[in-house]
Amino acid sequence: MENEKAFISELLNPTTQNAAFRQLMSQYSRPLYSHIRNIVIDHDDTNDVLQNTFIKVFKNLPNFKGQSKLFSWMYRIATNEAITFINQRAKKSGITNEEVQQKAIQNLQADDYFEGDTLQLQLQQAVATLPEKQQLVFKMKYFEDLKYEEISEILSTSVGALKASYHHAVKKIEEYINSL
Amino acid sequence: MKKFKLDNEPKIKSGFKAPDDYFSNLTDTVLQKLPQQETKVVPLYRKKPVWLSAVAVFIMLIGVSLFLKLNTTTVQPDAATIENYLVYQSSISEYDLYQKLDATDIQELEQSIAVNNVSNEAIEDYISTQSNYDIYLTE
Repeated sequence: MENEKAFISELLNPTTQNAAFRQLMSQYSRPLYSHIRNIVIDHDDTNDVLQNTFIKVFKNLPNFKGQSKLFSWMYRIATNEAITFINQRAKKSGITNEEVQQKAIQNLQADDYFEGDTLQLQLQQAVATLPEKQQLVFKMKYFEDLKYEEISEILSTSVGALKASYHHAVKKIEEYINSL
Repeated sequence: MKKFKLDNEPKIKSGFKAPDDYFSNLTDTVLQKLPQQETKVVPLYRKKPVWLSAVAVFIMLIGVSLFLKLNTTTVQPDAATIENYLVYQSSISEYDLYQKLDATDIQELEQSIAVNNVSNEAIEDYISTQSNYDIYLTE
């Protein structure tokens, strides 16, 4: 935690800011990319959201109070940015959020940056049928290997509720795939 | 067919990948988009040096004007100079002068004339020492 404080002050100090921000990006680019990609599905959309996330992180660093870990704070920003992106896309197209995700999944087969086999595609389709919260919990736990405690801090939900969501999600996914 | 059970399967990856050089370029792309450190705009009135110099200029102005005022004070001429001026230089006639005198001025003038304060003995002494005092006696 002390190290993190020192790192944050480096990020805020104009002389060390550039190097520190590079370090922050090299550390978090890949995990945050995966996190956002799991939500918005398409690579180009992920790229937009990820860049916005880092810009938002940079702009809001002076207001970061250190109440939570830098890690969970950044994940929270990324999650909000990704969900906001889907909401905006839905609003623009006049369709629901679920339909936006279904559409993205349909496009996956033609996506150059998706290398999944049939089972992986079926899993993505199954996840897309879940309610938003269950989707988030499942993706963070199963694909991103985050701990319940970490997810709890990012989504501000109790560990118990997260376990229940994950359990429901797995059941529904299994039902979906078995029904194919 | 065997029922699909997520826990029984080997870990299924999401299947997403990023272009090869995506992450190496991302940092520079984002850094270019970051807002530059904006120079904080401090209102002029909040700057201490501005206040200090304004006060300094004010004090200097007062100082200079006081200095000039004190230095240019004209020296008042004394009574003798005024008298001489009136007698030799001005065109004011005696008539004009005593037209301007009021009761207090006259009283002051009378008091200033030494004759009223001189004792009778002193007058007698003076007359007796003068050789031509007969003139006074006869008149």
